[in-house]
Parts: sequence; C-alpha cells; structure tokens
Amino acid sequence: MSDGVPSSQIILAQSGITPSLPTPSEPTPAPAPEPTTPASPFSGINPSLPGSNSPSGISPSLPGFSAPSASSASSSDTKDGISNLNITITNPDKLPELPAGQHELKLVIQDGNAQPPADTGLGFIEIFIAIVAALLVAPFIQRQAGKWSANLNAFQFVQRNGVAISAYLLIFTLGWIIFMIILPQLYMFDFSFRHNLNPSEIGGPADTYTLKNYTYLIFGREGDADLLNWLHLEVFTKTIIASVIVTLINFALCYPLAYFMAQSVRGRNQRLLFLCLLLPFWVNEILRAFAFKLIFADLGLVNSFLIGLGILDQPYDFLSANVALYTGLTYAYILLMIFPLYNAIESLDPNQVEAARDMGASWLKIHMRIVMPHAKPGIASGCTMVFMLTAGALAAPNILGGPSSLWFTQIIYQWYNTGGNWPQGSAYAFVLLISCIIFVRIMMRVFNVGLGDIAKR
Amino acid sequence: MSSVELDQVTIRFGDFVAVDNCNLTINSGEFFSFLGPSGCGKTTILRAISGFNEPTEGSVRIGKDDMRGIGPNNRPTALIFQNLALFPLMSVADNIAFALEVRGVKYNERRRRADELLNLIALPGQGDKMVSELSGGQMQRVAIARALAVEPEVLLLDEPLSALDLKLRQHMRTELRAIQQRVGITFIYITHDQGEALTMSDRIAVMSAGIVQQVGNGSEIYNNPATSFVASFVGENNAFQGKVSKADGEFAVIETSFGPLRGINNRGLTEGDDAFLFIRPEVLHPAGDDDTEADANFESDVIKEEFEGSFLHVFLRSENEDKPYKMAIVNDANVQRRATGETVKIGFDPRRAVALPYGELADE
Repeated sequence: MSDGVPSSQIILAQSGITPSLPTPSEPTPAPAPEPTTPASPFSGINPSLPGSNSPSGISPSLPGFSAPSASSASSSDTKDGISNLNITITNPDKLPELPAGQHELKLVIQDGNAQPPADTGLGFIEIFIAIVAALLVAPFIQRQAGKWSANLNAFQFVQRNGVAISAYLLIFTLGWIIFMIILPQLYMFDFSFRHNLNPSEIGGPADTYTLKNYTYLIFGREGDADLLNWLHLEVFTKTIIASVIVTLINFALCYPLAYFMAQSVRGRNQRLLFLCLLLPFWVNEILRAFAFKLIFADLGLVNSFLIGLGILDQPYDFLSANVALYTGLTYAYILLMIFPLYNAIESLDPNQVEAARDMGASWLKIHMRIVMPHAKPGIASGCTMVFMLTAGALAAPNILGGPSSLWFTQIIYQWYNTGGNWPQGSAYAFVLLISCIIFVRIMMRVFNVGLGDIAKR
Repeated sequence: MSSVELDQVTIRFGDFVAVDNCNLTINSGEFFSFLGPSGCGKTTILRAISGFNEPTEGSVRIGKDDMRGIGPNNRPTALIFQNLALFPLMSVADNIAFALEVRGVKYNERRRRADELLNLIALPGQGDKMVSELSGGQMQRVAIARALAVEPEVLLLDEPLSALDLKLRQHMRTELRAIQQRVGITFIYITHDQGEALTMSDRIAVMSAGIVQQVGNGSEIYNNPATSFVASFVGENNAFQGKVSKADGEFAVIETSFGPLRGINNRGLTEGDDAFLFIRPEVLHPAGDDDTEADANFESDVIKEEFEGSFLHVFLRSENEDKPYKMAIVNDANVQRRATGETVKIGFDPRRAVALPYGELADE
C-alpha cells in the first residue's frame, strides 16, 4: 500500500464529522502538502472499519435518536467521493518523475499511530524454495494421483454424479456454507464480544474480550438510574410477541387458502390463483410498504371507505395503532407461509377427508385430526420462516411503524449505522437470532416436529 | 338395517350423463353388487348413495327417508374407499374408533368398542399398531371395522379388493361375505371384477355407459343375459351376428355367416330384426353323429388349441379375425386334439344359446 508514492503521501483528515467529535485519527502534521481544495467532497468517505469515528458521545440510548453526524457516516460510496476529487499539488518536486499529465495519485487515509505494514512481497529466495519443493513433491503426487482418484471414485456420491459434478456440488455448497455463512457470522460473533475501539487501538492492549455489549441490553449503562435497560428489553419482548402474532395471523389467513388451492382447485384455475399470488411480489418491498402507508393514511383508502360507509366519523390513525405495520408485515411474508402449507396439504389423499366426513366428523374435527396433523411439517416450516423473517424485518417497521413503536431490528440498525457501534449492534443482532432459534426450537418440541420434517417440505 | 331405493336417478356432470334414469331397490340385509367396466357410472351411484354427490334428478331413499340435502356425515351409510383411506398418523384402534371419537364417545368406551371390532375382523390385540405396520389384507379388515364402528345401516364398498394380489383377493371375498352375514347389514359393493360380483353377491346390477342393463342374481345374469352387453361382459361368450329369419315365443333362428343358428328368444325378437346369438364356450362341443338337430350346428376351422388342465380350449375361425370363437371341452380321458386348419363340425344345445337384439358388446 505504501510503495506507490512513498515520499509524498497525502494525508487526508476525514472531514464532515461534527467538530465536537474526535476525528477518527489524529492527523499527524503532514510532511506532505496539505490539500488546497476544501475537503468537503470527502464527506462521503466512510471508514470501512467500525468504530473509526469513535461514537463515545453518541450512544443511541433513545429511540428515534438521530445524531447530527448520522449523515456523515451514512454514505458508504467512497469511490464516488474520490472520483470527483480535485487536488492541486503544491510542491510537485517531491513526486516521482513522471511524464507531464500522468501523475498518479494514491490517497491514503493514514492512521498516524499505525505501524507501516510489513513488506509482504515474496522475495527471490521464497519463490526459489517453493519451486524446488514443488518439483520434489510432484513425482509423489503423480504416483498417488491414480490411487486418490480410485479412492474418490469409490464414494457412491461421486460414482453417481461423476467427478466434475460432485466436485462442483461439494465446493459450491461447502463454499456457500463456509464463506458466505459461517465465517462472516463467526466474525460478527467475535465482534460482539469486543470493545468499540478506534482503529488505532485495535490489536492494542485495550482490545480485550468483554460481555458489556450483551449486559448493556439487560442492564443498560452503568450508573443509569434504572437497574435494567427497560427500554430495549421492552422493545425486544414486544418484537418477539408481535412476530408471534403476525405469524399466527399469517397462518390463519393462509391455511384456508392453501387448503382450498391444494384440495379444491384444479388445472387452469389453480395456475391462475398461483399467478395472482405471485405477481404482486414482483413489486419491491419499499414500494409495497409505502403503498400500505398510503392506504392506511388519515385520508387514505381505508379511512375514506370507512367514513364513506358511515362506520367512522373521523379518520382513524391506523399508523399509530400499528395496524398498517401488522398488515404490511403479514403481507410481506405471506408466500413463505402459503407454499409450505400448500405443499403439505396437497400431498394429503382427498379420500382421507371424505372418509372422515363420511364418519360424521365436522369440518373443524377433520382439520384438527386429519389435515393439520398431516400438514404439520409444512405448518412448522411456514411458521418458522415467517416468524424468523418478521422478527428480523427492517423495511416494513421503518416505513409503517407508528411514531411510538420500535422494532428491535431498528435498534440494531441504529447501533450499526447511526451509532457506528458495530460490536454493540452485533451483540444485539445475536441476541435476536439466538432468542428466535431457541423460541422456534421450543415450539417445535411442543408440537413434536423434528428439524428433518421441516426440510422435507 | 334399511333398504336403499333409487328412484329415477339421473346424475349429470355438465353435459356428460354419468347415470341415466336408474331405478333400483336394494333390499335390507342384501349383498348387492354393481358390476361394470370403469367409467360406467357405478362409483357415481355409490357416491350418490353415500351423499358425496347429489342426483341431478330423482331421489335416493334409505329406509323410507329421502336423502336429498343430507350430507354424508348424517346418512346411515359408511363408505369403504378403493384405497381404504385409513388415517396413517393414527393407531389401528384410533382409526377404528374415529367415528366414535367425533361423536364424543369417551376414550374407554371407544377402546372397548375398537377391541370388539378387532375381534370381529380376527385381529385381536392389534389396536396399538400403526396402520403402516399392517399387511394389505389386515388393512382391508381394519377399513371394514372402521366402517362398521358407526353401526351403519348400509355399508358401501368401492372396489376395496382391487389393490390386493389374486390370492388375498380370493380369500377376502369369502371373508367379506362372512362378515356381511355376521353383521347382517346391507352391503353395496362396486366392482369391475365379475368373479367378485358372482361369488359374493345376492344380486348384481350390470351397468354400462350410465345405464343399468340388468339386475338379477348370478345365475340369472350368467345364463339369461338381458342385453348383448351383459352377455359379452359377464363370462366369456361367442357372438354370432345376423338377421332373424324365423321367430316364435321360444326360439329365434338367426341367419349368420355360419348358416342359420337357433337360440332362446326371451326378448321377443321378430323376423327381420338385427340380432346376436350368444353361445358360451362350454356350450359348444364337437358334433357327433347324433347332432342332427336343425339350426344347432355349424362348421369352422381350428386356429389353435390351448390346453389348460381341466379344459381344452379350441379357438375357431369367426367372422372377426381378432376374436376367434372359443370352445371349451372338459378334459376327460379321451379328449381329442386337432390339427390347426382342420375343419370341424360344432354342435350346441339351442336351449343354452341366447338370441338378443343387436347392441353394444363389451370390449375385453
């Protein structure tokens, strides 16, 4: 990173941060020239490392909190910020000799305290040793290759799919699981146990593991008047309960529809129904959420309709009452409920329903004793997905939530984004994730569903 | 126990007439079968009796009550499905007692009744098994017990034996018949298998294309078929086509391509009618010297012979190359084999040949 223009690094102090906040790094008195243009175009630079704009003064302890610095840290598009840069070099004699008009600039946002990175380039010796080693090992590999491929072929999986396809399948699934899921999550998990440090302190003596990010959710800041962090705990509990309610509403709405589609409709009509369900989901989430907001607004469709019918005298504030939020959340994941239910019910032999009816069972009894037990894996699968996604929803609560309501994900989002406190955000996110998993597993135990059952559908 | 009456029942699905003006009375305590090829409307009739379909016209009466508007759950019938439709997630006892469960019968009473029924179907002590642990025949019997648990007045069976292998099927025929006689209720049985219908039933209704062709007991239907369809569908039969050349109250002579042949005239054929003469393979025999009765013998060529143990089947050239005539000769000690292509003289007893108006034949 430093070997391009070693003699003339241009140190840019990140600007745009409110003066009251400490800048991410102490700008060392530059041996290099000061940029002559005002640094305002740099306001878009967002340090990629969390904690670099030390938010010690801006913990989001209040809901709806928004620090003045929020805007400065929100844009992450560093490239655009730099491409518009206009810099005049004041003492070009310190730059390496280059033909006129071809000056290459490398901007380094440097941390004054950080050690210059070690030279990682491979020297001649290392390359030489690697080549010699490869030459020594090669005959051995060549000798063993036949044996290995024979062993490999012995695996049934490989025999069935061929080497190329099975390698692809393995690498793809393992790669996906390890690099896309496990490693980043482990990284975030590690993060959640760390202090929110300046980049300069990372790896230093202050960089120790701590539980404070987790205890904060329960006890709040030390020295607060209350023993517990009531606000966040309440939001957390409300989010879980509301997600359960949304899931139940979703199930109640989808079950009859799924039953109807699976057992009563056939052929053309069935395809038509599926299309009617699927097509609205081409509309993106934001548009849908704002449309809901419009429908439930004071002068929106629902209020005009109800007033027109004479049911209401004056507009009802659906947004404050969270009616819009619940409706939006319910609608958002309706397909994830309908399709597992549909798949499960579709595999039920219609004769079973008729047999039960013939034996005098009421519709309620038929569904409780015959259809639902059969569809249990699908019900579990649908409810799990809807619950998880609802608890983790962000856009709908952001747009449709009433002024006094807060979804737990919004707090998490504030920690990461506005608060710039990634460890705290990670801790909160993990609390949500693990609570949801525990809750779902308990429910599965109660209803006697195995994980394998869910995957079946 | 009740009789079932079908009074001018017509059932249509759109333009398609599934059942056409069916009039039947099924007596109380009777084992009654509907026999016909698939698509003949027999299952539709069964579903109309059980209440899953309503007749488009006419009425279904059970006992003396008109069943229109009464759902399957409120009729004194129980239906056994073709695939049995046992509940796989319940134990055998829960399956059998399901009808009692929905009526709010207490667990202990349910269990007692289930055990009783398990004894009836000769599966004592198997109540705690899951349905999937049973064999095909056992499932069959559990389905019967489940249907009997409600103490129905009429038990409806929709080809319940069709999924079983031949041996088990034959065994279950006798067993079904025995159960019916033990419980004494009306059984209405749907089948396309004439063997089942003939062995089990008190009476049989033969159906084709939505129309009941004939109702009668097994021997009536076999020996005195009322239509060409019944004659060709029930058992094997040789059909000789032609015009009636002479007819009286007892016999009709039909001018066939094998010469004039004579048969019983039960349907009042008159001279000039298009007609079939049906002669069963076991009625044909090689003519001896004494076979001189007029219009009761013909000549044909042997196409092939098949020896089947108790019978020797001789296939004879007919009007239709695909359907050679068949003669069954009882295998006694001096049964005589013939060479292919040999012309033989065949005789038959005209009192066992049936002349019927020209009509639809069953395709086997």
